Amino acid sequence: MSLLHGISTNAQALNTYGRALQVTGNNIANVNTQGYARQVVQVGSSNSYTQGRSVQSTGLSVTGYSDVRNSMLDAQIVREQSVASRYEGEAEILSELETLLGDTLGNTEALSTLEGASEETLSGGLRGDLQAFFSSWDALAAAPNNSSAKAQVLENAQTLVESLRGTDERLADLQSDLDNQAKLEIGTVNEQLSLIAQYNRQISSLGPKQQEQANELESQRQQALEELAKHMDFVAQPQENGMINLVVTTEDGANLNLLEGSGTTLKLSWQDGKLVGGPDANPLRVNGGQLAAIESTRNGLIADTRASLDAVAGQLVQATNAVYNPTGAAGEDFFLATGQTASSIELEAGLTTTTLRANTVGSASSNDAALAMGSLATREFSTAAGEVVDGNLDNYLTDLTVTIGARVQASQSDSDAESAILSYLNTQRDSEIGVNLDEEVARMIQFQRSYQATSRVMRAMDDMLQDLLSQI
Amino acid sequence: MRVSSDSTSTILPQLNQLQARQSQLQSTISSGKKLTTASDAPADAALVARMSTEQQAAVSYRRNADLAITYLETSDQQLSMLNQFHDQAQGLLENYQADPSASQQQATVETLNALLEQINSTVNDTVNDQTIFGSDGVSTTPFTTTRDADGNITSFTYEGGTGDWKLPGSATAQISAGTSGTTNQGLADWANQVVALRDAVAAGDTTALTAASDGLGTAEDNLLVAQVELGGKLARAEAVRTSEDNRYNLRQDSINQRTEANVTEAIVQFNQVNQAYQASLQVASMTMNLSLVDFL
Repeated sequence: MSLLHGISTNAQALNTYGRALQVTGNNIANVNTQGYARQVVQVGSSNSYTQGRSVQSTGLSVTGYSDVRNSMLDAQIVREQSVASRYEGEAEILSELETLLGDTLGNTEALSTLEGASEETLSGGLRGDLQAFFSSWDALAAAPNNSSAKAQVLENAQTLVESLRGTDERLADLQSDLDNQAKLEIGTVNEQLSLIAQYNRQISSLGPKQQEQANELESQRQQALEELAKHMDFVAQPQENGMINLVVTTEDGANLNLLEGSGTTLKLSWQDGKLVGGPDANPLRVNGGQLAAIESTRNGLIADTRASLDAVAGQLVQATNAVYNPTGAAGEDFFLATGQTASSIELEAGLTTTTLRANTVGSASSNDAALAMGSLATREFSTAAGEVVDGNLDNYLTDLTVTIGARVQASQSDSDAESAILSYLNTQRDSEIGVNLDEEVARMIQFQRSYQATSRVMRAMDDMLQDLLSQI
Repeated sequence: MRVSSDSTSTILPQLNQLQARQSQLQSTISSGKKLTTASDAPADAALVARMSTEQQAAVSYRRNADLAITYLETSDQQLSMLNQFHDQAQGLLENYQADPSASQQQATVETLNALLEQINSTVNDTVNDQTIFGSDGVSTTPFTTTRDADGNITSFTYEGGTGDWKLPGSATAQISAGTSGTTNQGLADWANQVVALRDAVAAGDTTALTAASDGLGTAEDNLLVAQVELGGKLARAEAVRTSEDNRYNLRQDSINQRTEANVTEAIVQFNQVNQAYQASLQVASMTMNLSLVDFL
């Protein structure tokens, strides 16, 4: 091997060590980049030849950049991210639903005697208003000619009506807010899909010698997939050209391409509380991400709660009017007969302390209506008998509150459990692909020393060549 | 096991968990409550909700018992007044029988007329806009009178309710808050005996006087019956009041068991978690600060 050949070989080695240092520096710079997969430079002999009995290397070069990504872990994390986001979203939305109902569960202040208690302090929210309404009829039954007792009945009735209407309105607003949020989510989904399509295009256009750039792009694409999974679930189908297709399923069970390669994305929209896709607006089966949380709560428990409030209003109107005006005389009802939902319930027009009766029309008793109205508080209704609800109205509302509370607790529990799983998987992945500063610094020192040693050898060879040339 | 230098996936989640637990315990300690919404403990929440509803009912029944006691005690007072009027009427009769002079006759008639007006006022008295002796009737004047040309009462007619004035005392039972229709009719009969006495004195008819005196004596039983009836009803109303007090307090105990936090235990747990959090912060700081770079 000649001196010139030696210098050339060492120059190649210097390039290689410089490249390795560059990659190490890039790893250190990305130590805090979420999801970044460290790159490991593979160095080796660029070529070799036989000289006599020995094999000589032609120099050192970078033979490749190893990809330390674990595709199985990546896929798992995308799936679990989708599930975790759904549970987290449901827990938040249901917690808000529980707050909107405003039931404070009753008296939590210790009272040694009844002297300090009043109906107003005992139960909160809709249940409290219902109890106060029936209680004021009891008070009127005890003083049927007392105008203050009548005024209290009317006041509590109006409060109950406003409470039902107000609660229903707040739930309707919540559903509307969720619709708006879903549309924003779809906007974010479309952005992520565009980003992933762009990455697909870039990755597929890179050649075998651009492995370093390909690894970086794959890390970024994986981040985009995990971000997308926070909004909706999908199935990722890797292709041979390095692209990834994303597939979703319709409610009929048919598969639709959410994203195909670097081009086509499915047109998504939000209609009547459901995520639909494609030109035919097929309803999609969404089981993960924020969109699944929105769909399941909006169309599930929130809608059911509104239906329950309608049932309470309907039963209240029917039962009250039947007791207050058993003959059904025109203009003698307590509640307007046509207003049997939570949004439409209202008092009969013209009810004042003068026109309000404690007895039924034509009755010889002074307080039979008031007594009967008070007893509605504990009356057990039955749908089998053609009534609107089963059980008494207070228990019906209590069951509703407790059902929502149980769902909130379950969602929070599921969210905590899923977060723990996701955290574990992320830790597992980071232990495989994450940057360890000590490792990178050690490699940096290694390449730095190799670079120094190689440049010394070059200098020595250069000195030797100069000595030779000076003899000529 | 290889560990990444990115702390967001290792150290931070652990610190967040400890912070969340601290926050939860702090909320429990400052409020003294472990159950404020249904989601805290749904099963306990259902029980608390039902207990508070029963407390609501207890407050309502207790109020009715108080009202019933007020009505009954007022009725008792008014009956005592009627008894006094009866004794006055008897006294007037005895005085007139001892001295049946014209002047005594006139004075007795005038005094009996005034007594009848007082009786009319007493039997039509109200409490809380509720007639005391009207039972469950709709009329605000259960005892009506007819009068002669001079405006003197000539008869009493009971036009109140025929049943019993009742208020809800529990989910299944009611408590009486006044005299029954039958008893009230008896009061009207007694008042009419006083009218008959006045008429007999005004007529100066000895036979009628004797009959009126006997009638008044017999009608006095109506007053006694009314007082006995009130006594029994008063005892029942007081029993309901005591019962509802106990019911309320029992349910309060049950609610407290489920809603009140054990603050001492919560403070101990908070101290433990706080110490763990401080230790985690210290360890995390040492781990993140130390690196091979420091030794080069």
